[in-house]
Amino acid sequence: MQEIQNVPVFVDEISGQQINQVACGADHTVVLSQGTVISFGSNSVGQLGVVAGTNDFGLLHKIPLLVNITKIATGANHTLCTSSEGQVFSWGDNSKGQLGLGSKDSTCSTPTLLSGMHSKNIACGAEHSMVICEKGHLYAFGDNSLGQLGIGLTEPFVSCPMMSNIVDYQTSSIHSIWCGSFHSLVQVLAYKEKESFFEKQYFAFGDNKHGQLGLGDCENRKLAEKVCFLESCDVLDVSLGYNTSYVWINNRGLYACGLNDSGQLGTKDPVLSNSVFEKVQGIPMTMKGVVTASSFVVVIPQTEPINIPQIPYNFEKLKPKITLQSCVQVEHASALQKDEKLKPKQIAQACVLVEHPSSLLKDMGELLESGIFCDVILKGNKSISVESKATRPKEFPVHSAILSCRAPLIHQIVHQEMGKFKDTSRMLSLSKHSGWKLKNRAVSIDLQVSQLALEIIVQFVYTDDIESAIAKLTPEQLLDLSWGAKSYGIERLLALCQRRTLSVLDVSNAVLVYGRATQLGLFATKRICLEFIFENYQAAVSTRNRPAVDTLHDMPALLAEIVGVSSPDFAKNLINSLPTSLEVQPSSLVRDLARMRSEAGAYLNVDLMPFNSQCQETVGVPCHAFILASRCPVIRQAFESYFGNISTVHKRKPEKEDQTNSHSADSENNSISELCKSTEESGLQELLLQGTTLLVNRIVTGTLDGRLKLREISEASLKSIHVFLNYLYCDATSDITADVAIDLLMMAHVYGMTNCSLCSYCETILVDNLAPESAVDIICASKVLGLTALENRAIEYFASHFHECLQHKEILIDALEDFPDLGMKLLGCMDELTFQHLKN
Amino acid sequence: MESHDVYVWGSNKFGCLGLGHFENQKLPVPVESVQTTDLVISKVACGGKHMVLVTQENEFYTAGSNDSGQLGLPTDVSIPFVRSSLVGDG
Repeated sequence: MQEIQNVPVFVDEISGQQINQVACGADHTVVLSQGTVISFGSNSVGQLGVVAGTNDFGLLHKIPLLVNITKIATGANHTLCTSSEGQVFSWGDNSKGQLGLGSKDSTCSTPTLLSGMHSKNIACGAEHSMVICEKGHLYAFGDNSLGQLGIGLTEPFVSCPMMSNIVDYQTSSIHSIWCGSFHSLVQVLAYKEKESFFEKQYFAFGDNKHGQLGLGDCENRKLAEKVCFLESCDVLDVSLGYNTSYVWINNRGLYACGLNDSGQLGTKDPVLSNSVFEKVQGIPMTMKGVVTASSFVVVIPQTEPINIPQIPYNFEKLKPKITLQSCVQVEHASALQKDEKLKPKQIAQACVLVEHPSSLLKDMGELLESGIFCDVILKGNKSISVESKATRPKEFPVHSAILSCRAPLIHQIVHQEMGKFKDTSRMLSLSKHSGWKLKNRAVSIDLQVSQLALEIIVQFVYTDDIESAIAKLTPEQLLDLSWGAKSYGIERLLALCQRRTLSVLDVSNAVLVYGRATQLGLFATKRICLEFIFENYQAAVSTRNRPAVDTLHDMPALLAEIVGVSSPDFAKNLINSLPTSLEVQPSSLVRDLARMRSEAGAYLNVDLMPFNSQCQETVGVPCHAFILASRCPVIRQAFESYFGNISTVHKRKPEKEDQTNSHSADSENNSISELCKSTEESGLQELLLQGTTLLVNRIVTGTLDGRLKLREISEASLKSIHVFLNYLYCDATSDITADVAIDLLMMAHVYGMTNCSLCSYCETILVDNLAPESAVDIICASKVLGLTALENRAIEYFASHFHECLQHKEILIDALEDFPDLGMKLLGCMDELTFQHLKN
Repeated sequence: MESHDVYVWGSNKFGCLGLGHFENQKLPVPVESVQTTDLVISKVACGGKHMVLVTQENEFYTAGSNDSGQLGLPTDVSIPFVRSSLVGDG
């Protein structure tokens, strides 16, 4: 085959079908035919949009899946197309981001949809791409090394479509675009209010080494500049080639500027380049043509009307007003020219929010371990076999509030015991005068279970997490635990024990367990054993089975039953007379803890008051001291500095018998009022900077009617306090607004809970609900709290919704006063001038 | 009478002007092979080293370099422009 054809040759394979458009890249050809796309030529970087091997040389490829395509545009080695629905697809070379996919992949050989685009028109330069979207907004991406995107930045390339602010979109729209190799030209329709008509304007930008912008000089333009020559011209057609520009002007003919090394300007003078438009010679004046150029030019007669939409895009406001927005927009453009703070790629990094797992179970476990603010001491006084009789019975400090919702029967016993005291509030109230000493205050209860069983019961009550603990138990211990669970009405624990019993049964112990279950009245366990014995009768009840024989010897009453099991009918009747074991229900820990907050009224001993309320007057939000202390490290510190040791006594003895501070009762009120005063004076920011020691001293403000008064120091709203407490009790996070989420983040940080799941949740909420009115607040909050990822996400949002955000300028002005450096940080959207403007 | 001439000029290193030679053209000239037929070219596209012309009758013509198959010529047999018009007539 001939490598080069210097006369046009007929291509049989593609001729005959309806051809709607043809476009050529450096080494490939793309044909639009009835909504589908056909490609051939080089596929070195996937520019054909199909996966094709090297042997496919010269083959025509119909690109699959592309339908209803209305326009194609080719760059040197990439292609864009747009569908009748305005979707934009791109494929081919992506080394400069010219596919607009935001990815760093250097090529993409399959057409990929650009999300969020609703295109009206497209154009491609050698390595850059442009899309006009609805309302005439221009988006550009790809190579920008010579300013050909017209976005004002010195970014060498942009891989995400960026909206170009060439014009004020309030009053103007981009109507048409043309791209040359490294330069671009746009036609703008600008609404003239006085004359009530749309004026056509032409702006050029990008490479101008050879004067191809037609501006009279050879300096590159990073920002769009008006092409004066074309003002008041009736432009019929435009084509930008390789370092050249051509315009067809009605009644005047074809004009060209730019590089002329091959004579491509078609002008009389043999100049190497020309920076002003000059008429192309030798084309008849009568000809109305269409021009297409690369390093050579072809003019064909105009056979069909040039398809340029004549109706301007709908403007949101036809009557423009001088608004803050439009002022800022102009300054925005000039600010961008001066410095390039907007680095979307950098911002895109470090935007990943960290997921913190729920810490509820861990905190509850620690609460049990440390025994903070316990008011009940449980003891297991029943011993099975010879279990450690010598040692002193172990004590388990627990909370009556938790018992009340998790183990009602144990709670009943506690309640009766407490009733013996005349002053029940003695156990509950927290007061500095008497200090907080477990020994003096807690009521001690003996339960009829073994220590081991009690330990597991208590663990279950607090965390529901006992699977590993019961896995180690012997059948005997398991029975004891089952009995404890049954007697104190803890059904889920009982069900877990029964399930576990089934897996520890074997032929040697089946009869023994059966006997013990009978003694303890664990009928469901008995049924499990009976079924097992029935199935393994020979082995389980053999005379050689010593444990079985011994058991039956000890419990002769069982003998009749066991022997009877050998008869299937008897066994069936016996088994059916026993209750089935309980089904293991899902954990109700969270639900129970939530109920504790709403129902355990008697044990509430703290009032958490909003920051702004007067400490002795307003009633705050009631809650439990131990919950606050176990989940908020800073509040725990506050308690410790107020009461001394608040933790359990059975592990380590209090170092000092009396930890009361030097404060006397009289001076207490004074110090409280002082604290209140100083808290009001300094803002939250300073509080955070001063560290926890100072915070700690400001939280506890005193006692009232046996209740401890706490001051909520992060200035959160009452609603936020409620949501926060819901989280503390049971990890509940309800639907919250952005305001509440910010409050919660503040609270979590102030109280030393930076790694809690609440933080993750709030950050997610904030990112999902970014809105113009809240973006600035979120930026400020995340700045204070050091949440870089959240801050970056919010800034990113701010950048992309710049104008909407500016409508809430009061918020912005407030924020700028608090954080003077924020203005600079906001992407350089905000130069000093604008800042002053806003301030005024 | 309306002219259906196609004018070309500029770089001709790869023969993409379709003039039958490889010399750069400093001024627009009509493409002879189009002139001698009655074909009406309705679409045109210019690549880096090749050109595509499409007639009103959806006939597809290419000129220039075929080093990557961009002319859409799969075989050794390339039908010269003039012959194509004969095919079209016949």
